[in-house]
Amino acid sequence: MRYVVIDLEGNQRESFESVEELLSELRDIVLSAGPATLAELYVLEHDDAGHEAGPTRRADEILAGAFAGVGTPQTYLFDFVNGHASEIVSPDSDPEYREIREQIREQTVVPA
Amino acid sequence: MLVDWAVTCRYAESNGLVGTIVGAGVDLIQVPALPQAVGIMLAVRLGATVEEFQADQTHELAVQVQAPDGQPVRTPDGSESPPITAQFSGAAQQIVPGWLVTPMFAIALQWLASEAGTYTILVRAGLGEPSRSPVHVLEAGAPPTITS
Repeated sequence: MRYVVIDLEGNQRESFESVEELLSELRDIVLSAGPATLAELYVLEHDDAGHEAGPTRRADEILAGAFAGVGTPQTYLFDFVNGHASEIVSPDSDPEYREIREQIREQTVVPA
Repeated sequence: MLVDWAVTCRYAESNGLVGTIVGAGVDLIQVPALPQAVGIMLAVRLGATVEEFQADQTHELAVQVQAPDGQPVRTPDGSESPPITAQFSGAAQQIVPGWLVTPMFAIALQWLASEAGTYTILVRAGLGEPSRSPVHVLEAGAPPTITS
């Protein structure tokens, strides 16, 4: 697999054989030119035959995802009625969390 | 580690780094009658050094809700509800040496509102100072006057 960095016009800048090399280069770009520079770069994945092997991804999202990962889940419920906290692993299917979300939707008032 | 900011909202979700917030800043809850279980969500971003946020470390997220009189809200049996804590862990690296790690969480809250007024939600991460988010609770039909 090769990771090919392209600019907004589709011009190839560099390519790398490993994710580690790609991330190192993206980090160097942030350090030298500022984080906004990455918003103008995209990354293509090419297989060994040189064919595109995945979606085109924004360089800034790749870097952020790789260097700021936090363990899942990221949603918590603090229930002072029943006196407990819980991690919400599946926000769309947790029945207690869904019920409280519906309650919040009904009770909160947005001034007209 | 500290709470960088906490925003009340109608809905929030996070992938751990960035979030989606719906109704950011909403701070008014209206219910037909009191006492009543009420709820709101918060989007919370933390700030921590990379040394504080390694894979083998566990941290505490503590939440407390204060009633309009400044005392902890009460449970249905009338006793004061202490802060509720949750443990979280994770690993993060810095994009640039010296930058803070800034994990983000979505928090849903429910508490028993026994009276109208301004409640305060306190969120603390680790040993840092808590953030304070006021939320106003009104009965439907009551004039929009708030005592805090």
